[in-house]
Amino acid sequence: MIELQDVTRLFGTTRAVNHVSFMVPRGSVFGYIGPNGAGKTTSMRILATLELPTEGDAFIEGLSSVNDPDRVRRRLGFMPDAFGSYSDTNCAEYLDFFARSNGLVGRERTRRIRWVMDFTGLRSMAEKPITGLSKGMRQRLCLGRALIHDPSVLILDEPAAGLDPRARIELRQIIRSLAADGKTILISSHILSELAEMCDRVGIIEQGRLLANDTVAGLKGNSQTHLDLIVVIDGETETAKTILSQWDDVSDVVELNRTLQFRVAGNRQRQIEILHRLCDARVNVLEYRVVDESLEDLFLKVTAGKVQ
Amino acid sequence: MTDQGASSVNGAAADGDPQTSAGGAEHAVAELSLGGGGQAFPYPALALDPDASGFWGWVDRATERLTSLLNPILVKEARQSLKSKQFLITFFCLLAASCAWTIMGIVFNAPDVYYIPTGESMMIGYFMILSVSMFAFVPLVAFRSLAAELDEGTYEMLAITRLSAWRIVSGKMNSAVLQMLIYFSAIVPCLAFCYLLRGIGLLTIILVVAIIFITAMVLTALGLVLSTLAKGRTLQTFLLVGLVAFIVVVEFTCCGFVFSMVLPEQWSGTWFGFLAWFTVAASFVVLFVAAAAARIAPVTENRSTRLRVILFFQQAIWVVTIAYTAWSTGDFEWINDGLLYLGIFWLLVGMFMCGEASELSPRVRRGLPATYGTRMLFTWWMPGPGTGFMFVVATGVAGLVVLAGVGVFGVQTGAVRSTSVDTPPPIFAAMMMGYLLGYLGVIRLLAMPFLKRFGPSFVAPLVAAVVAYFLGAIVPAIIDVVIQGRISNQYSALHASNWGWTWDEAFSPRGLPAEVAMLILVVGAGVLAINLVSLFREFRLRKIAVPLRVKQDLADESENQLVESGSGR
Repeated sequence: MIELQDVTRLFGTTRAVNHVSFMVPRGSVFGYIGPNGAGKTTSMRILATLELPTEGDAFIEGLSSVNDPDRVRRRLGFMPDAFGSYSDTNCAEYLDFFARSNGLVGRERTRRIRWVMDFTGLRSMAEKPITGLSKGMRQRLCLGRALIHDPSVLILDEPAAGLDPRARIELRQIIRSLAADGKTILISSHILSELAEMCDRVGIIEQGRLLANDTVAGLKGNSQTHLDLIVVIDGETETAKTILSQWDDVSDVVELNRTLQFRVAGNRQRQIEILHRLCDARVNVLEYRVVDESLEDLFLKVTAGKVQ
Repeated sequence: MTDQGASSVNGAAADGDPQTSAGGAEHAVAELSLGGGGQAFPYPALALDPDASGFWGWVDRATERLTSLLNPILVKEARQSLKSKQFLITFFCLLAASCAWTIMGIVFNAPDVYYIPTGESMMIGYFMILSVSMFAFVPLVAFRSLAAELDEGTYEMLAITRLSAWRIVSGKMNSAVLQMLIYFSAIVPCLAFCYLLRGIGLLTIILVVAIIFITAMVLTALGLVLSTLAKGRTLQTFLLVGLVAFIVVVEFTCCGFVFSMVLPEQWSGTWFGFLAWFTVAASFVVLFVAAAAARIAPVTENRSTRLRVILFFQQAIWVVTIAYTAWSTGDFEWINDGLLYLGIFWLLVGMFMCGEASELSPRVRRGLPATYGTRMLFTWWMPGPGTGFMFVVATGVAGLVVLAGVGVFGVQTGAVRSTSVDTPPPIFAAMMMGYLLGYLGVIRLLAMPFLKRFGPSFVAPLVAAVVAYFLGAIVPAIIDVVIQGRISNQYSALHASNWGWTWDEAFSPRGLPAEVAMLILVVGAGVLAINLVSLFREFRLRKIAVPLRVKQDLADESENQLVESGSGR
């Protein structure tokens, strides 16, 4: 379990994190979204015991990252956005070093290193110096380092950055599998479509303040002020267009072939009502659907003008 | 997963291997990976195959167990440095220089080398070669190594592992010692050759090597402390230049000492004497390593108690060393020298302690002494500027009193006789106590408002110290000019705040007047009394309970340990 309790972090007079609170239950994936400089990395670093909050506290598995950082670190795998490399070190030695540093000994250590190498697809790179790795390979190694001691909580800051599309899809599956295995995951990314698919909940942060914290579906429901609907008509579209134009709550009616797209004020509950009204007006509806909002749309909607 | 390595993971888990199946994630996501794959086992870079059978498998596992006992930083740094160009170049240069010196020595000394002992002159060259590589390269590599960790963000990756700050810094120190041993091993044949040439004893060779080792260790530990002070490239460059300059000074001093004191005299003095001085140097190594670890440890940790314990033992070592040296030489001056350096040492240490944070984290407060008796005894060992001030004052005064007592006892028993100085140790000790109480108290009072405003830092006490010492020295001169129209050339009680003149007076044949020493002590006690008023808040801090979740975690840990020891891991 991950928990931030009313955390504030000041850098001089700048509030990098401003009274942020949220909780991520065990075995779930929490997506952390925000523009650059919003406070994502700072709050992740506070959880990872690398930064101290000016106010509030952060907890991992109920242990304070402020007062018991040593206990928190045993349960935590952190993948920062920047990769710190060592000269004259190859991938296997790098993982071996972090395995030793995390207290793994004997067979357990060697097995764990093998597993991480297979898992991250780095086996063929075992003897390659890490300074010569590509960005994507470094990301894999960084993820491997975070997983080496089998932590129960993972904090991943931009893990998909630099990965090719195939590796991104695999990463998504891996994260879901890790969550299914009981790991609690906090993940930030700029690729919002990916987060929508893998996260149980999403938090949107801007200028240090948490603006929203809900499931993607919940966010869509809460933030909706209108619906964009698409209707495919059997027969004459002109009549249907005229009928729609007469209704006060309908706007922006656009016709394309036998398809009409229009906007209705209100949320998803209006969807059925509009269909009933169309049928009552004897419009022959062949297909009827709502245009789904993407996480990008939601993000822009939630952040627009809230913190200025 | 078709490869051998992966199937062994799955196989072990399926067999119910507790170690493997404990890593549940391995099982659940075994079929997933971020692509790649490639060649089958072995993992040549790891070298060890724990599942291998037979004799070599046993050797692998034994080696594995052995290296698991080592500090991970040492293992990593050894791997890194043995592959680095810098190490190869230095090692090659050292070998080349030793060979060149050996050939040159034989050529220039021929044919005398067959008849006359020439080991001593050859040793001069080997000393220079070994000391340059150990003093110049090892400390600078250690400085750069820790500074790079802090600069390039790799330290943060270490910080979130199980490694404590102490283990990280001591790992750096260990790897530096390993490098020293490798350099030393390269020159051992030359030292053996030197011994065979005669003219130098085995003990002298051992002593010279010991001097090089201990000096290089002090310099390396100093390099580690300095690297933790360097925030940003500019300051790092300045500190590096400062370290290099200091190394040059130490190199010349060490050369001077070895060439004039050790080599020509065919040293056969007391081993205890050298051992005592080596212990003093070693105590500084431990102090610097602990200080570097304290600098990089999280602020919620107790970063002070370990340092205070080391300082306490360091004082004990110093007192014993000075007492022994004074006793064995019969020289009274050693006591006063010891008192002077002890006072300066505590003034310096006290200045840093005044810059500590006054707020204790809940984590530190859990470890505060709880009962009346333990609070009386151990409050001074806990972090905080107030407790630090009292620790320095109490320990420093105790050390000065003991050392002065040794002097008095020595004079009474006739073991120590007065030579060139006329200030008896009790008077000298009273003067140093007065300065310690007075100056440290003033520094604390001056720095306090700035520490409250800008938070804990050693910069405010440092600036306060410079101001206090400068004013202490200059104000009597100003008063002289105002009263007499010129600076007096006669020392009087008016010049008591001028520490430099007072010390000069104390070491002169005239000696320091007892009434001046008492005046300094009384003023110092007055400043201490003023300070005591503001100290009570820190002493009122009480121990807090360990959170339930932490207790639970501790219980789980001990249960796991029991299970592991029961399964004979």
